[in-house]
Amino acid sequence: MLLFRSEEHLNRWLLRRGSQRGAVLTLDATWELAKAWYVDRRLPHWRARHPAESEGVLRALGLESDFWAMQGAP
Amino acid sequence: MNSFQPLDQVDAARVFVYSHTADDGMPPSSATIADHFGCTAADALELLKAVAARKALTLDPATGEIWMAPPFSARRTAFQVHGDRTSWWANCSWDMLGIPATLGVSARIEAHCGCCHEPMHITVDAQRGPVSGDGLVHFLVPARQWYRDIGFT
Repeated sequence: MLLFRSEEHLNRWLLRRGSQRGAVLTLDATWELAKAWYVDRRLPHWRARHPAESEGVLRALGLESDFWAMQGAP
Repeated sequence: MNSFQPLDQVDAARVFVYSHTADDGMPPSSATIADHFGCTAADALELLKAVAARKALTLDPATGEIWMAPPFSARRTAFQVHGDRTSWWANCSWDMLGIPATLGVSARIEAHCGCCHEPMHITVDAQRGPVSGDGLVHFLVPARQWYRDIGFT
């Protein structure tokens, strides 16, 4: 995930690469996602989440479109 | 019934890797892990494979050493996070916020725009999140494909 200073810079980068726009979050929204996603892996009994659990984390933050669906992920 | 279960060696290695990274700034090498556990470097590499199999790490395919201990990176990237006493490299612009989030620390972030590569500075308060600096985080790859090629993602 790359950081861009503005929509103009993001669009310029997409055009240059010939890439399609994915999903864009503000820094505040990404902070909320980071807090919800990253459980401290120093905790002794940490376990990786199942994709369905991960999708639940995303949905709880309102990230509910098909772009954020994780069912079928490896 | 006593529900306490001691950590197995793989979980103990994970806890060591992440504690070392939090304190030192960089994930440990297999040699450092071998020193800590009193095993050979070859055994340490096998231990890292086992930790990676539990989806806690991504290893460098060429060397077997740690590449990513999310949200931390063992390589220099465009995203450096500075705490009061330690600095870390983040794998991406999501992870640059994941580091202060998971450690519960305030931080200064030095990043670069993906388009023009000019520096961008962000300040994160441990409680309030980003308090200065602007930017947009772009997720190019849909979520169900994130782990197919995590380096690209």
